[in-house]
Amino acid sequence: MNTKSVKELKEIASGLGITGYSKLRKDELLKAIAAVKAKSPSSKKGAAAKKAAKKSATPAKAGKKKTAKKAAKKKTAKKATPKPKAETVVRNLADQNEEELIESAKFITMAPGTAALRGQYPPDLGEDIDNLPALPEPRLTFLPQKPGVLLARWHLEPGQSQQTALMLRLGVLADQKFYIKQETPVDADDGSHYFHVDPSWPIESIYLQIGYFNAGGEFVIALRRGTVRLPRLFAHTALGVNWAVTNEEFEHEILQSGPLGQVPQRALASGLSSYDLARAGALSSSGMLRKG
Amino acid sequence: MNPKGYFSLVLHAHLPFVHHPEYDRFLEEDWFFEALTETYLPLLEVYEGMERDGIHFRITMSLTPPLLSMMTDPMLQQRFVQYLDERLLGIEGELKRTQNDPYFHPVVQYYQQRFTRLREQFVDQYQLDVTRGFRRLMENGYLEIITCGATHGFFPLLATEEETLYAQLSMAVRTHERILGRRPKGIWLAECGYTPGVDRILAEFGIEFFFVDSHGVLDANPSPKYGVHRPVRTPGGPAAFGRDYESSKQVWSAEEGYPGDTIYREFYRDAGFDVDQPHIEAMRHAGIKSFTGLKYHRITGKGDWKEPYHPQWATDRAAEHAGNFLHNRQMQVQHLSSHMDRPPIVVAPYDAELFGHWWFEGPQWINFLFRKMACDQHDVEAITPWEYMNRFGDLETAQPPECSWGAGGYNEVWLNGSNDWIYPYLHTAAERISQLAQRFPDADGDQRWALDQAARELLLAQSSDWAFIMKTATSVEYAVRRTKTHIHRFNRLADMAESGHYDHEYLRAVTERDSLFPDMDYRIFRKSPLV
Repeated sequence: MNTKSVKELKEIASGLGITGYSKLRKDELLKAIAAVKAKSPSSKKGAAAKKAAKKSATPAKAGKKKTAKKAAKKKTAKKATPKPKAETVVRNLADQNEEELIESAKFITMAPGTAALRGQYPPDLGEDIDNLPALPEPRLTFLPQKPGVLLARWHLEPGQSQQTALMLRLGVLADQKFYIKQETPVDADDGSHYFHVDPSWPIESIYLQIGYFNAGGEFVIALRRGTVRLPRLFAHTALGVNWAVTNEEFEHEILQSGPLGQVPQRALASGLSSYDLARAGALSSSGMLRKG
Repeated sequence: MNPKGYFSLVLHAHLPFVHHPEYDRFLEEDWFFEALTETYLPLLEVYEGMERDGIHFRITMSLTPPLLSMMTDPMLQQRFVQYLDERLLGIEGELKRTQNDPYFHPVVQYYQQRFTRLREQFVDQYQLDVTRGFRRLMENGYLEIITCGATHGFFPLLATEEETLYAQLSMAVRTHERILGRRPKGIWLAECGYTPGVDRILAEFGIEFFFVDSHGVLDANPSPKYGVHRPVRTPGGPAAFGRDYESSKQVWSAEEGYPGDTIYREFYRDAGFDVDQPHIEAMRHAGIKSFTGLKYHRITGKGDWKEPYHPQWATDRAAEHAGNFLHNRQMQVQHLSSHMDRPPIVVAPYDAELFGHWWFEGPQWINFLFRKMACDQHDVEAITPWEYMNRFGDLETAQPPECSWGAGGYNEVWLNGSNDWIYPYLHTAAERISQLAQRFPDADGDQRWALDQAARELLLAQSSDWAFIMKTATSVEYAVRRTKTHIHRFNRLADMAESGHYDHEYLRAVTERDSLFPDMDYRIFRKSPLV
């Protein structure tokens, strides 16, 4: 199963009736599929099954549809009638802190841990609820989750991730030099990655980019129209400054830091630190030397 | 009275806008009806009782714009009357079913009295609009009613587009003033979500104070001398009040806190699950077993066995707990005041729905607490943050860090594998409407209609509740659908405004469904206040 592409896994997930599969990453897809396949009365308590069921936890509402307006009727004519759907609501209360548990009580419609029949209400104005509209252009989203953890989320053109070996890289700009800190391969057109970073990094200068290495070993930024947002984790006195970095600014910074991926032989021989090598783009986040 | 310190109770009342005229009944509308039944109406009853008896009390309440919108929505008002009538009818059936049961029959009788009184309050006293009650208490000086972002948007994750913050705040201040008749002095930042720079924008709206979790003040730069027991002045101007951890835990904690006492009513047991009879079935939604609000058991213990609920015992315990809480606050301010050059303030913020909905006896506890505070001692006095600022206004200036009151103290609850997919769409839509607001500064006719509705759709999509529900796995499918629906609707409306081709039937239908903010002006999505 590990050898299958994300696309293939999504097809499998779809076939197994896993909801929300289109948003899952490869590892999540693997877990969800494994959980569903392994699901049997005796495995209900398995953590993976719980997690997968929680992810696909469903539903909304059964209700008698009112006489709709003409327009709505026209648009809903094609939609399926609400069908009762069996759902097990799985909530691992141990995962929540007390305040979260209490606050979530506002949104409980059934007792947690119980199975019940719930209906899915149709989107009555013709919205294609199973698919989100395409974003107008490729996009990188960069947000702080908590000190030391940053979310990178990307949306590329369909098929773009299959065309070349794309890399998501996180770097720091300091003293007008660009230091590559972490990299991770991009194997799907849409996806996300949580970077765990040193909270003491100068937060104004953390950058994110998606690109690939050309034949000459240079890193080419692929997501030129994507906007990178810089998070702020710690105290600052102003908002709105340096939150967005234009491509021009970014390229300028890259140029200032020198060509990437080109590590002179003498540098290797001189025993430069991995930090220096990473700065030059020659190291992946795992410390392995990159070809070229 | 010359107290040693002050106590400020802050109740954050909020629910997302759930309004489905396209259905006769809608399960998730019950969130609002349950909160009215168990929290908002009982709190009003308590406040009015204290006012009538001349008790000194001060409470700060945030009534969020979506909640105010639902409270004043004619369709939801009528549906709530129907909700109460269904329960009163169900109770008739329950009285018959339990007539020979000496344990549960008195509990059913208790509910009959309670629901009868709730109906009187809602229909006769407030004429279906509970904001009248809150507004009067505010005008009489007992309540400080503050606002919140227009749809409870979580600012730290939306601040990448400052226009969003302006829009959330513009619509919040407008709605507050339209329904309550005055501009808010304070704000409850959704989830206490603060990010540096927000204070500057708040000041542009005339907001004087807001709240942060304890670490929002304790980790501020420079470190405030008196911690959370004196507010700090942020660089932008408004004061930040920090949550007092000690008093919070006594109430919030499900295990160690008061609500976990075995005498109190059990939240999860409900006739809706326990009883299969036609009169209970009538309260259900298309046969789905759901909460009815008729809960007959007390917590009893951790096991499944639950004893019958005894309202009077629970009331007595609420009085004991109020006395205990007050005693602890007295000890706390006595200690603090010996180290401070002015009386300390103890700020205790809670979700309003904790009182009544989660902790059924919570409103009674508030009643006993303020009565005891006013009559039984002289150490602690109730105060609002605004009153405290006016009495002790020379505050230290410090910069709070980015923070929230969610688990972990930052953004993790609203940004994790279950919900992070929403942000690219929210950010893209915010960029688009901001551009449209610049491009069409004076839209009118159909274009104005489409742009105003697009702005409503985006604000609704920005509600932090959807991400929270996705994380906590309560009504996930509903939250996912709401987010996707609003994004779809936003895109279609924005397309119409750009292309000049309008589908009037669609516009009418979507405006009927997502009908909050009648005074919407899409130009709120610009970098300046529009109130």
